[in-house]
Amino acid sequence: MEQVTRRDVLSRGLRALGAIPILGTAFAASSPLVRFFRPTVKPYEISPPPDVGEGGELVVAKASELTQAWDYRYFLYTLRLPEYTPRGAQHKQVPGVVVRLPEGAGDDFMVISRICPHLGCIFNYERDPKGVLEHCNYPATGPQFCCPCHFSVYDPLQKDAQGRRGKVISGPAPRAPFQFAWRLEGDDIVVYGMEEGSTA
Amino acid sequence: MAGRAPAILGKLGAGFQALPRTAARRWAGLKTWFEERNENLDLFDETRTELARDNPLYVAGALTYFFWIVTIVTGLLLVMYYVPTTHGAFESVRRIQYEIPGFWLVRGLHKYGADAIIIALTVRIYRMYFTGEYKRPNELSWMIAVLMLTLAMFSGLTGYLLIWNQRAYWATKVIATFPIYLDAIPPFAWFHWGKLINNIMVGGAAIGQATITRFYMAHYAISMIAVILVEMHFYKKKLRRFNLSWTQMGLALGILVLLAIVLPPEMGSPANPTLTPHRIYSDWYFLSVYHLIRIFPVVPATLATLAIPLLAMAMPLLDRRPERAWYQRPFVTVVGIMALTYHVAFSILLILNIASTERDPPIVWTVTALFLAAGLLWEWFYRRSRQVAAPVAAGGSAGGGTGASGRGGAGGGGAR
Ligand code: FES
Repeated sequence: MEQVTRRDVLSRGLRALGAIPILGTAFAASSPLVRFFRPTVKPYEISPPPDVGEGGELVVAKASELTQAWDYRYFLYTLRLPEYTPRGAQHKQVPGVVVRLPEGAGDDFMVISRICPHLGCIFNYERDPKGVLEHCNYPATGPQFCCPCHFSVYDPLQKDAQGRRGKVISGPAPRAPFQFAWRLEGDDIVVYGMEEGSTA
Repeated sequence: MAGRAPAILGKLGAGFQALPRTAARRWAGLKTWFEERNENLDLFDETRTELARDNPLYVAGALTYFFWIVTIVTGLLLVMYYVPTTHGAFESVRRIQYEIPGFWLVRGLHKYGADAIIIALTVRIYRMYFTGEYKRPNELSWMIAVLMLTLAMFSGLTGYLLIWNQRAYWATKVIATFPIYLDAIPPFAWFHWGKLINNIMVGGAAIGQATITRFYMAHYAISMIAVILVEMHFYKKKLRRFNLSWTQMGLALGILVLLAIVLPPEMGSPANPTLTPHRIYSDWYFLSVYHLIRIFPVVPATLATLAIPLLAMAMPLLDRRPERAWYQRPFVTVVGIMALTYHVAFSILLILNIASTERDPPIVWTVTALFLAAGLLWEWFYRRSRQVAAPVAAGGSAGGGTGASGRGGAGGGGAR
């Protein structure tokens, strides 16, 4: 009885071996096939990493302009993104915002992309909490970011588990907004890069 | 041990040799299944023209075909003036609408013809659902009907981006972001397939020129490929294509013309990637899905969006009892009513902008549970009443039914 089962298992295993050439062919064919649709994939690559953009340095605001707590400035940061056309790339402007945080918040400024991590809308900074109630159905007590598309609300005073500022406090967004890499150079707030995966 | 090994190997060898035969048998079975369904294939109710005489619901298929042809013809005309570039698209559509003589009508017919296809297909699918038309031997016709609706919706999606206005841009952005969330589940997560689908759809890392080019291609290809396949079906089986009277066709066309005059399709404002409009709408047939992603977390919402058409297609495999009338399949009927209710209710809620991620999901779950419970209860009562009336017949058909969700519970209740 035991032998039969073992034989059974073996023969099933042998039959499963038949799948190897089929899968092998599928994988061998998949790379050129994918490259046909996505020319940035390298030859023989079957699990290509997502395409990402490159950006330069940009002075987004002067620290001396944002003197009061909650002062803010919108800016556009240009990214060069791959595009599958003969010209090969497009320049995309990523809307961002820099906000002066109040005393005791831990940082002086926060610089984030305004592209919503949910489904890519551009969210707004609502300095007046009433705006959050009006546009996002959320009774905010302080200035917050609010996405008009599906009512995600981000709190500038809280960080999420990964240490990203702008924890989601309401709505369907899966994570805090994408963060810009920035530094203070004298009076200039300089952005020099951004977290990946933030454009769609 | 040494003697036994060759014996095992011999058996294995025999099993391996039998493999082609097993495969051939399976293949033959599949072929007969397909042949029978293909013989009964019905794409636009062209084999049900008799029924159409006294039941207007059976005109839905013929109307679908008629509206489709209207949309294809007007689409081919629009191609003459449309410019598929980020800089030229909006302006070219504006000129089509306001400057080129007569083209306001062509565009109107194209847009409302496409809307009419969706309505006719929806009516037809619900008719097939409630009358059990998807059952043997019409499984394939049903699956193709669901596929048609999916393709028609996809065609609408690729079509309205071409206008390159705010609404089109942002609605497309939402749809294009969807696949990225598939990367949260295993096979997709290992290979970044979700992001790959997104990149391929959008033609790069962000919506731009490549997106218009690709959507333009897809918008064209869907109908052109389908029209060839449909034509093959009609030609091979020598079936009549337009199963409408001249009056019916005139009336249908008249309604489209009237709509194009009274409610000319809107233009909106040109796409602006740095400014989200305060209210984002998709085309009306996607509104309920939009509501779904608004109130539920994205990953389950994405999966649900994919699962709904697949489940609908699998319906003939899930409900295999021979009964066809709606009251003979209470559970299935209630599920259909629930789907219809949600579709309408979600669309209305989205338009009225009523949504809350905290408040709404429990309500939806409760309503769903109530619907399903009502279905099961009704199923149980129905089975019991039938058993009382004719125990032998009920027993026979209960044994025949396997596989559908909830049937087990209902059957158990009936046996008590
Ligand atoms: S895109 Fe911002 S909440 Fe959905």
